[in-house]
Amino acid sequence: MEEKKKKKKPSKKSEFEFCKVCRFHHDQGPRHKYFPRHKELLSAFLNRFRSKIADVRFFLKNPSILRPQEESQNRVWCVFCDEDIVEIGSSFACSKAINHFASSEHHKNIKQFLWKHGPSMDCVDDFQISDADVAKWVRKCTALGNKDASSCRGQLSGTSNDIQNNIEFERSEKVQTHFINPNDLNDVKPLQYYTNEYQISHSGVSHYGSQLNVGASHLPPGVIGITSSSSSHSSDASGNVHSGAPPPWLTPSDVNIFSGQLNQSDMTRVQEKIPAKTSKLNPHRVGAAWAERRKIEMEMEKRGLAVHSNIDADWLPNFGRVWQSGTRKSSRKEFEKEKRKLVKTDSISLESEERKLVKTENISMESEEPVQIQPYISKRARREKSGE
Amino acid sequence: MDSVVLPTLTKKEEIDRIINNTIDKVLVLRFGRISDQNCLLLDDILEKSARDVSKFATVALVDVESEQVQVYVKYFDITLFPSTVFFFNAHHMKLDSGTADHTKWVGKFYEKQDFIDVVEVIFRGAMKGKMIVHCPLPPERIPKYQLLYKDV
Repeated sequence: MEEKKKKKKPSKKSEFEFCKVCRFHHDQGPRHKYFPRHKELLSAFLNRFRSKIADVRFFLKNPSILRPQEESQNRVWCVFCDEDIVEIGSSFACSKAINHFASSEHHKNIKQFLWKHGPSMDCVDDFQISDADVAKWVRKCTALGNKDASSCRGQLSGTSNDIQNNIEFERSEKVQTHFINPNDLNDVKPLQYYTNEYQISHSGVSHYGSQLNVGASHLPPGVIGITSSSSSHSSDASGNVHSGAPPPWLTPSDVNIFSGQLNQSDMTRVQEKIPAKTSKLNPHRVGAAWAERRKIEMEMEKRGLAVHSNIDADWLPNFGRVWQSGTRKSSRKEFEKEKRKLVKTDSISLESEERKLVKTENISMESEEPVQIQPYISKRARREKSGE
Repeated sequence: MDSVVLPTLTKKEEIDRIINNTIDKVLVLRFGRISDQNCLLLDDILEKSARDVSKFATVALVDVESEQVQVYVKYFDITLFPSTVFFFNAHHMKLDSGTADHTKWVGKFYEKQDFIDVVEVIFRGAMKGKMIVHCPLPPERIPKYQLLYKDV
């Protein structure tokens, strides 16, 4: 036995190699990538690159012309290819970077990197740019290129003009504020004036629309510091704060931000790593439970364990229902078949015919609305029955 | 200048995000428009005091002109500008200032210290688990307005 152990040990130790992500040499071989420290550093590493790629994507969406003096500053380090992409001699911002990220060479390198270090292959698309996007970008660039020469000159003169305009604008603002200040002094006004003319002439309150038609809007009688809008939204069908409607920041439209389904194991793992500083806070403060949960979610998002919730309404477990015979999968298939039938309303007559058949045939198809609840009969019991 | 210091939100997603990402801090959302004088006065106060309250509050501006924030404008029933709404841990905090509407602060603050006091009271209340707090300001410093109903 001992000999065997001795033989195994040297085979475990592999040659020293450099890990790009952890920035040190190790002799752990391929299992190094499963080490927690490596994983942590990797997610930070990839996130850093994600933010870089996001910058490039911005220019992909709205291409802009690169000024010659900014050429040297506009550069990207590609971590997968170990290459510095310098934009010297290119006329559009990030054009070389975009071409690089779309290249097949880059794609190959990403795959190699992920195989060697990485969490999984499914994030390849995060780090490259698709050809369709590049084609779009090229089209936009050509459109821009026509205006190129004229706009370059225009920008310079335009900026100086803007500064002047700004100065003038500020000045006029100042004048206006001074003008209004004396009005501010008599802030507390008697409340017996209700006419719009009074407010406009004396207190500088601006009004939009006619107020008296408005349903339940606030009318400021002679008080400064308030502007009212023409309440076109007085006819609220959806309800508001006063009627206790669900707040808009919790509506399902923002599912991707907020209510992702988290892995319980992931959550606990992240939870352990968050320092227990928060325990000092009052556990009964407003929204305490929510804050704890949200903190964990944010931590996970930061680490790139993106909280995807791609679960659609039609999701089913591997089995569709309680079944008594056949495989689980068949019960699911049966369920899906019925669902499809429900959509087709024209086949009602057929179904009713089938139902008669089913009733005679008993258990195996416990379909349609009048679901018969039956006690569970064990397999053995059934076998015995059929045997008899 | 204020837009440089305080973030101006123009989309529903942005508001959602700031509400959901502000944890254990008071979030102050000012609903108004930059073109408005009174709004600018309030913005000035918010901007000056944002740093003082930064340990327990975040301040952001919402442009009510934007189409995409109309959901929020409707939800909070914002008919007067500027209106200021407070949140804590994604819960809407109410403020009883003796006016008809407890859900928001309507109008401007007269002083920087007034704003700081209000935010602090909300923070202290929220840390004690209170969803509604009483306004610490004397009544003469609270802007007056009236609710007018149709046919009243």
